[in-house]
Amino acid sequence: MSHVLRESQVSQASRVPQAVQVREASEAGIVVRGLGKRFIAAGREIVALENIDLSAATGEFVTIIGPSGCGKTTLLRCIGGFERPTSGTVLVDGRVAGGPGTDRMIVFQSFDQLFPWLTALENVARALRITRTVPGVAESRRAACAYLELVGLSGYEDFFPHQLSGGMKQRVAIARALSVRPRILLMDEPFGSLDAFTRTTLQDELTRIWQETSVTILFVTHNIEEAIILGDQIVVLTARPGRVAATLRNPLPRPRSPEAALFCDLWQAIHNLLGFRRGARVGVALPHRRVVFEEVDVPQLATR
Amino acid sequence: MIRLRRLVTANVRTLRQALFVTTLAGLWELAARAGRLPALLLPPFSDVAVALATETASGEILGRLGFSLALVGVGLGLAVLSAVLVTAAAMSARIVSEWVQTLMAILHPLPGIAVLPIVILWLGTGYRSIAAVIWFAAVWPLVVNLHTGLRSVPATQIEVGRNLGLRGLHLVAEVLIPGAFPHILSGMRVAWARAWQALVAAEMVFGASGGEGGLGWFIYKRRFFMEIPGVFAGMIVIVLVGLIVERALFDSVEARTVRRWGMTQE
Amino acid sequence: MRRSLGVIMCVALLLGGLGLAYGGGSTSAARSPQAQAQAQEQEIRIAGQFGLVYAPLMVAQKHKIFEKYGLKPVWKEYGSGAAVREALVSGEVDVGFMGIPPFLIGWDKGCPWKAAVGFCVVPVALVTNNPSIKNLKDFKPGDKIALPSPGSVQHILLAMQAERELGSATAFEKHIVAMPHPDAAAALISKKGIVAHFTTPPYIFEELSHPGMHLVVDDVTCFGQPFSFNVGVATTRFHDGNPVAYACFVMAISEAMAWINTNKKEAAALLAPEFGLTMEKTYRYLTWPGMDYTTAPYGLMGFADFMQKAGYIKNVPRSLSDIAWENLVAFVGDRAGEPSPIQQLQFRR
Ligand SMILES: Nc1ncnc2c1ncn2[C@@H]1O[C@H](COP(=O)(O)OP(=O)(O)OP(=O)(O)O)[C@@H](O)[C@H]1O
Ligand SMILES: [Mg+2]
Repeated sequence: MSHVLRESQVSQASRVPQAVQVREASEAGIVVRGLGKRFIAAGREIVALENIDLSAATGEFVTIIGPSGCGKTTLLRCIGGFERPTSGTVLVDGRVAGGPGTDRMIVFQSFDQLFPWLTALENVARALRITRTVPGVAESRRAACAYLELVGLSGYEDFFPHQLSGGMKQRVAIARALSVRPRILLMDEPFGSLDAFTRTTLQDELTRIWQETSVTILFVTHNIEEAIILGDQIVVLTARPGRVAATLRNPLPRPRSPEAALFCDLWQAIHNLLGFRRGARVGVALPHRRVVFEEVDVPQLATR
Repeated sequence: MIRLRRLVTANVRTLRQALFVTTLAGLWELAARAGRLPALLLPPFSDVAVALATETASGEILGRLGFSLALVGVGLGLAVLSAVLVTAAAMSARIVSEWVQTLMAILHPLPGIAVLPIVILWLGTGYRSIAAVIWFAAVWPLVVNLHTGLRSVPATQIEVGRNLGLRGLHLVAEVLIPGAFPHILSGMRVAWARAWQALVAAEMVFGASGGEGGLGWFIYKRRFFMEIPGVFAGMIVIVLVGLIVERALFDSVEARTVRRWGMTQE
Repeated sequence: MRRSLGVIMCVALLLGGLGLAYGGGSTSAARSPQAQAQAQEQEIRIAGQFGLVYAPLMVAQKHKIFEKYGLKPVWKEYGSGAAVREALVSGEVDVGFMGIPPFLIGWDKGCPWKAAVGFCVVPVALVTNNPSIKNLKDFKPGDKIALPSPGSVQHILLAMQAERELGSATAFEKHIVAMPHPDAAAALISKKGIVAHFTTPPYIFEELSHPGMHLVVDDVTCFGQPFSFNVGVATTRFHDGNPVAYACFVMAISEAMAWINTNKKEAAALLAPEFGLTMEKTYRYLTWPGMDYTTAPYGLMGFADFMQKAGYIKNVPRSLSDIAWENLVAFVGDRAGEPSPIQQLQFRR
């Protein structure tokens, strides 16, 4: 990739917010509007999230970044239906999302999310059987094989989770989540406890898989680099209570590499944002140039 | 190759154990034959072996064994059933869980055989009382292990199940039971051991199941007719059955499940 | 190196254990009768059980009759005839009281002992709570009959009657349940689990006093004539090693019995607190028709014959002297020609 292309991308991004439009709630994809969540813990009220707005069109890759404890997991769990939001709405393809369902599959951070009594293949095939995604046992196994191949685990079909590395386990979890054909994949720091090398590989893999399946992904991370490499949009949350500090459109073309100058600018911008006020246009002043990143508009909700 | 080596090492161990047991039997024979202890107190091992052979050939031991195993089967089966019900109730409401835990704390340390007099009062003598004693001996370890087993299933796995659309009994069958399996298995182990002991004790202390009794009654009767080699033969059969169930059944189930799944850390 | 040390230690421990077993054997041998004979007061360890049957032992205890004969009695109480027998075998006691069948089973297996005194004749009977049972043929396959233990007097009596009525001594093997008398009496009265109980006084009196209970068959019908329910057994070691103490033992038992037989009212008064009964009830039990405290032996050979034929024992005594010490042999005598009445009482009719 040439620098020219990147520059042009940046200027394009700064000139015309092309993907940025006011979207209707009925549109395909996911819309989170005014979401708030309060917990009562140890007799105290904890405001975990406040007035979160975000949206992802079908096939879009959104990364969510924020300091630890700002409510990223809580946000994903609210969307996934595992927590009931105190306020606000979650819409999937225009319909209010309720309890957990296969339309929103979560890939958790912990390595123990695979069923240890099933092999890699069976973990996927079992999910297919349970959800009746694919008819028949043989058919499920065949489909499961295909998904393991998609995540690059051909040859490990008969391995039990305890025989797989952490990265491999997360791959199986991704394969399993994808196999039931969700509308949206919710990923909660799935590579959080992996070493840098594995993490990079898996980021590339995930990008490839996403491109192949064109599934919508909401990806939580506390790693700025990861947020930039993966996301079309980057939602930056403030520290507690979690609010949206800014939602940035990522102007970098794929595949993305941290060496690019723009990458560093974006990194700097997010870094600053993580300590910034909400709402302001985000810019970074650098000695040789000044770059301004476009914010994503919050979609309008047709109130019923 | 690795398999072969493992086979060899396993056999070497078995061989060593066999050698040790043979030596013990030899020492026993010598001690008995030395003649300073009356044969009525310690019959030579060879007499015991002969008794074991003749009682087996006559079908006596197999019949008694069948009776004992059937009784333990009934008692254990009922214990499993009630442990499942009790645990289900405990999982459904916090207050029930508290009751169960209190009951468990009170009743778990009580050996099964201790309740026999009361059981006889309520159920009379016979196999029903023995089954009840076995039930009592086995049910608490089962409840304890089922309870902790279910609680030890990682929340993430349960949420994965819910994410896949599993609810209620389906979730229990697909995620909770397999997830709790290591505990369930060790609960079964303890329950079996306690049930087997309770059976023999109940039959021997009260001879409660009468002429249709199992191995405990076999020993009991041999004792009253002073057939001491027969008493030893009965003891050997009890030990053997315990060993076989422990090794052939539980160990192999464990190797095929919990070990294979790498769920042994707990 | 360390491993081999462990192995050596284990072996040493094992051998040590064996040595202890031997040591245990030799200590009891060291307490030899000769040594005892030299002692001023001769210790005699006596194994009894609890119950009306053992009244003479209680009297001897209360009146210190053994002490009068220069003996120092050590009283031990056991839960069953088999436990008494095991105490004798292990050398824990010198003399013990048990039914003829347990005594004969031990003799058959080579226990070094013989009968020293007859002890008592007692009414024993099979009581049922099922009105439709009139004889043994009326028992159905699932019906349980409680008795104290396999190989007990009651068990053998049941086998005798089974042979008489059904032609097979073992017809009821599958019916028997071993239960202590108090448990069995409670089970019979509450109709829990058992339909009949082969029992002895005072349970026999208690059970028959409840409505709906009746007697199916009694001991005399089973055996053919009265027999000793219990005999005093002395080990060869005690008998041979300490003839004087043995003679004193026989005399002390005789004196205790004679006192009961001549002072039944006083005996009842003396023993009532022991049994936790009223004096009247104790007296009634002591004088129940059929109760007879006597050192005369009855039925020794009859039991042996039957038990050998039915397969409960392998050997049968050639004569009374095989199973009874000389005082009993002399007591019964050996009439030339026709056997004397007391000789006939050793057999079944
Ligand atoms: N079940 C709960 N009960 C009470 N408080 C909760 C609960 N779950 C989360 N919280 C609180 O909500 C806040 C956000 O937690 P959350 O786990 O969403 O943070 P996070 O952004 O995922 O943090 P991290 O990056 O460390 O994973 C925290 O202050 C936490 O204490
Ligand atoms: Mg989190």
